Amino acid sequence: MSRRFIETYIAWNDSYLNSSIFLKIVNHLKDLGYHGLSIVFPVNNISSARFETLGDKLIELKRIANTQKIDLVFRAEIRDLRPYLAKKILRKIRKKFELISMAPTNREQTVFACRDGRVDIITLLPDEKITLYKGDISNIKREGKIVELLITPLRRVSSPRELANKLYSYRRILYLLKEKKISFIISTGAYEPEEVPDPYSKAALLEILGGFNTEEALNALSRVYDLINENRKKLSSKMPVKGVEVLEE
Amino acid sequence: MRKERHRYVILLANQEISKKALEETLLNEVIYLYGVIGLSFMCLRVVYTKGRLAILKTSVKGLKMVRALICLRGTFKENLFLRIIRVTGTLKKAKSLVNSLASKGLT
Repeated sequence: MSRRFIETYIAWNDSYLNSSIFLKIVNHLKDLGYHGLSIVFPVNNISSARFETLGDKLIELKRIANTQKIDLVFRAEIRDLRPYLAKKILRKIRKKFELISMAPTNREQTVFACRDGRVDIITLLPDEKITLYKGDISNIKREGKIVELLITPLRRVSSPRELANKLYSYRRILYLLKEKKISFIISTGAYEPEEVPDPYSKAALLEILGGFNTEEALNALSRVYDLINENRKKLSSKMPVKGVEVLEE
Repeated sequence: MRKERHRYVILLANQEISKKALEETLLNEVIYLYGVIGLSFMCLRVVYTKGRLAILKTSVKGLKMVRALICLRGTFKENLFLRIIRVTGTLKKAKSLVNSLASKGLT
């Protein structure tokens, strides 16, 4: 099966509700060679309501993306929340988003993100000195989670020293992921769609940073689709529990 | 000794840019990220520009570095965004592609 690339991180902006702007973004991503786009809604106590007010407008956006053969995915991101609050929010949102990610900023959150089955993607930021220990790695592998690295923090640096530190942090994570055979993805983390690079450039960055070969790097970029398909089956009740799928006649 | 192979990268900028300015910007960025030794691997040169489109010549080894540079830096000076449209093996093919894109109004 051919690779299907998806840009997994474009932050939500209210201007996307304008269908001509959204169509422009979709066409831009299509030109770059993507097959899918994931829009991220930051979820915390206050802004989780924003997603709920949009309702039908989001369905319209999905329709626009489908006309251009781009798969639109809605993703919730939990950032910097204590586990007890994250649990409360997860209970509320788990049936509303196709992907749920968490960006841990301390050890407590890292353990929670690795352990909780509702979190699909763990975003590791270069500023936070996050270390994945043996237990975390086995949890990630067992739950089939994906570790995500973002490009934007590497772009917003004030000095070469800061960039070097961030690159070092990413290189350390990538070597660990490679050694432990953990699935990962590299996303842009963009607020502007113009910032999104093509998938082959992302693969080149992975090759240079993590020492992967081209095949491995390209495969890593398209692996998130399996997770999305599994989550869609769960949402449509075709997969009542993990490992059990109700097949159509 | 085997002749070194090159690749021609077709770039699309968000604004019109001259050959000299683009070359200078890219050289500065390459030196910032990879240093002079990295630059020596790349044999980087801007060979042709037309409106917002440009053709960049690089060694095969350097192609990966150019891609990673564009991915990593994103925005260059004065809000310049660069996007790789296509990579070809000959200048003739690259120029014909640029001209066909220009005729479609991409410049």
